[in-house]
Amino acid sequence: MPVTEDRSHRYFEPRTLAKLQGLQLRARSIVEGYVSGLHRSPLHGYSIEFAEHREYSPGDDLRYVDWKVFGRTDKYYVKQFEDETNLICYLVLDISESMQYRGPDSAMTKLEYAQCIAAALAWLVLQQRDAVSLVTFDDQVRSNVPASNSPTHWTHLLSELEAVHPTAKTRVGSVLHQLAERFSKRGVVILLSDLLDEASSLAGGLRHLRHQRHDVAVFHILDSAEVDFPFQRPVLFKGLEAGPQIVADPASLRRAYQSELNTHLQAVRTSCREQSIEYRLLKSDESIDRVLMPFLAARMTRVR
Amino acid sequence: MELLSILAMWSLGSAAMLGWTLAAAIPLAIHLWSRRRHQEVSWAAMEFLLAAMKKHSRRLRLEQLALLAVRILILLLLALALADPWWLWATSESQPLGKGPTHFILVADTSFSMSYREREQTLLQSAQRELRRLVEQGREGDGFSLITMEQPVRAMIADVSFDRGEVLRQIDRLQISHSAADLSATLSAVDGLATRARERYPRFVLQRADIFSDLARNTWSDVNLASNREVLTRTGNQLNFVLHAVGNSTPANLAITGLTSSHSIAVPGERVHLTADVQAFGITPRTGTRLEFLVNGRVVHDEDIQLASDGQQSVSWDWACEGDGDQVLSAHLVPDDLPLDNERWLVVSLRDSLKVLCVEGEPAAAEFVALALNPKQHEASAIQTTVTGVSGLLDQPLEQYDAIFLCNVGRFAPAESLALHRFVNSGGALVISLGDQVQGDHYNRELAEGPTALLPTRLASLERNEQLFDPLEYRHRLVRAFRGREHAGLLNVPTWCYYRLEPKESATVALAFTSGHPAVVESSVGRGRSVLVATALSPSSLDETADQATPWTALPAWPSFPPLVHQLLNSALQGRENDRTGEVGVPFQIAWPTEITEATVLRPDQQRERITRRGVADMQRTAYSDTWRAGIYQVDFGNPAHRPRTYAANLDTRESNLSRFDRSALPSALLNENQPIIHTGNPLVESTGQQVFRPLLAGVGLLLLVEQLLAVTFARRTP
Repeated sequence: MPVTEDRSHRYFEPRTLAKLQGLQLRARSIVEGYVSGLHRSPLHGYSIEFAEHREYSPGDDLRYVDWKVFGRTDKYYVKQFEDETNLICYLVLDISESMQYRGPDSAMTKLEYAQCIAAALAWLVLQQRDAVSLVTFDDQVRSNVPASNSPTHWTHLLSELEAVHPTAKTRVGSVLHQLAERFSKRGVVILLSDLLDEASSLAGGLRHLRHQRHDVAVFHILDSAEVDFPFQRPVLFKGLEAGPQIVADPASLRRAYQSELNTHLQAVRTSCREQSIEYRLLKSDESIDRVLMPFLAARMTRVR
Repeated sequence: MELLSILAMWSLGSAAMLGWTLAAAIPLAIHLWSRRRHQEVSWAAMEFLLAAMKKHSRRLRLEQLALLAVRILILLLLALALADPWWLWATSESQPLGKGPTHFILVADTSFSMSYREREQTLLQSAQRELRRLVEQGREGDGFSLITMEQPVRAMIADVSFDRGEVLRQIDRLQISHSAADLSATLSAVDGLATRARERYPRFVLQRADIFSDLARNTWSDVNLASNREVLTRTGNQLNFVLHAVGNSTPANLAITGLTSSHSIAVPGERVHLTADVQAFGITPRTGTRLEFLVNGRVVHDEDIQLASDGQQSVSWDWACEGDGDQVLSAHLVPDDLPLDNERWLVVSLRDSLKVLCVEGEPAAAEFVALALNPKQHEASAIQTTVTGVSGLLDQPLEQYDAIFLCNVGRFAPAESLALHRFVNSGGALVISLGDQVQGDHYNRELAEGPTALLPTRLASLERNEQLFDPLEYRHRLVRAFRGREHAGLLNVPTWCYYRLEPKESATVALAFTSGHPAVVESSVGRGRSVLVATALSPSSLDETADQATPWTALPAWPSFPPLVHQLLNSALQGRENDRTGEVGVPFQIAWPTEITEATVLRPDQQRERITRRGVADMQRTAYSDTWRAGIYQVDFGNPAHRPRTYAANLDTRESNLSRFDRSALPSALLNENQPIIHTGNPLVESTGQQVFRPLLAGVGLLLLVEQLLAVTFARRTP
């Protein structure tokens, strides 16, 4: 099937998604765009132990087609490996107050952006009949939707995603420590957060997850204003998460601010790299396909 | 105090421009306003922002303050440059000039030489223009006084005026006076004004006297008098004199410097000899000038005169008197650039007749004199004579007579000499002839000395030797009529007996004997005149010491006797009504009729002034002193029974000499004349200062460059 790129890109644009009412609709748009590109979910397990064959379905990864069977039977069958059937995707979503920030040129808040990605990822996982769990947190775990691969689970997840009310601070590190102990089965942990926490605490939490042999991916979501600091005139910055208020001249502080931010980003990247954790820095005004596609493509190239 | 002294060394050319210093608040206001006017943003990544501020806030604040300071300084320097500041330094002799409120004592020379017209305007008008400019360039807080250099010195603004409009109005009211300038009185007035102003207005930092004058030599030759130098030296420590010479040339001028007549009182038909003295001042020969004689404003005679450079010429003319009452005689020149001194007046009183009292010391001693005065001996004569003995002096009021002849009177009682003295002192004419009855010692004791002295001489010894008259070159008006008339017999009349006279210093010898002894001596006594004849005017005086009694003199029988007696009368009458003609500023005496107490004076400027008689002098005379304008004054008693009395005031023609005083002879206190005045707009700044606005503007430019460099540098360094 040809990829109708224009149409799929339209679905991925945050400005377009923002116009869609409801997370479900937004997620479906993303997914449809993805599906229109005939991308099969690359989320899969680690095991290489062959479990069984199943009949090929359109969209299955051709890498797993057993060509020997085709040669013998003229029918297409894909190999299923043992863990594929036991994939659990833990979506860990930061719902702290800082995720409520939306920059002057952004169509969505960081949280909305994260919700779209989370919803899309959940759908992809559920489509391949794997289980997906949703954990929301701020300074503590706020909700935990157990993993399920039920077709109706997605609706549950969406309702849970839409029901969040960010109010508190971010404490990623400690939450990750909790989750590392809570998650009983190995899975793919996808962290969606702005990571406005101490890098060392974050690193500790990530290390704990990796120690529990989880496959971790970090989606570091920031608003473009938080990255570029585009303000010109003096601004009264009112800190979210009960932060202070200060009046500052952005023009004179821009480079200093960006230096501080880059130091933090570098620390986070370093931590992830050291832990073999996939790290993605996302701006909430970026097209989601540019977020998901590279992520999913990289997943697909993982060596089993 | 040092700081105040340093600050006092500055002057601002345009102080109003300092208002631009308020503009220096603009960057500050923008800075503060921009800080207040900010947008509000909810911010998540606060920790990074706080960390950035913590590390760089102090440096950023300092950079912002530095830029703000530079921008404010730019505007301050610009405002200061626009205010045109001056750095003033003190001279070795005076305080710093123009550094604060200044008291200007404006001195305007309004003597009549300033009416000289140069380039279509008078020197006074030129001075007024410069005075106005001086006042208009004054600064807020400056005070002005205004006096004139005339006689008397007039204080147009005696106190200090801070109202420049009023000062300008007073300057416009300056008028030419008809008097000469009085430098001594002017300097004293300046000293007094300055002293009073210092006491009353201590805030004045500087006092200066600006004198606007044509530097006429006749006025300024007094500057080196000891008294004036003392004033200049004493005041020079606290008062700066600035001399503004008005006029650019030493102009030529013609003036009538004198007008005299042989009679101050005359009868109709009598010939009055007028003499006008004309002088040329300057190097330009004056030719073709016309001189006119006028009687009561009507030209009765004119002639062309020719004068050499700086030359003088006297022009005479005889007027046959006609009319009655006071007659105004004047001489007039064709106007030049200084017309005020081209006219001169005198008043001659015409009477229907003159009344003469002849007092004889012995019978018939006055017979020949009475006959000479009134040959026809009837009342219709121009001269009415009354003959009486000595006792008649007290039997009648002597003031009814115009003249008294004393003929060979031996001695006088004290009351009689007192009456005679009163008569002469009040303007009467007295002629005293001696003779054989005269007691010389008595005359010396009673009439020559003391408060009631009448005689112009003392009587010395009696001389007995034949003498003829010596007319002394006909210099005196008494004998002038005999010049060229030798047949009249003045020079060959013998005199054999006479008193040798010792004239007083104030006396004038009108006629002498060939021995050199005075024959006729005259002098003023009070307002009148006394004339003494050394011999007798009667043939009845005999010298009986000789073998045969000899008349003292043949004069009474000589042809020259009648005219000589008339000349004696005329000479004595010079005092009578002679005060009708005087000089500007000299009071004239008004003789009041007994019943009159009020009168009106019509002045030369056609203004009328009412006057009253205060007090009663024995002759009922009062002085009228407001005679500061040249021309004719007429006193009207408002009663047809009393004719108006006319007086003439003439210019002091010393001012007619327009040559200028040599500036190099000025005292050092006045050598800073004509200090260049730098016109910088409002402030009057003396030349001993330096403008600073250019360095300030250069500083502004430099700071603009610095501001740009700092802004770029800070932008690059901003982390």
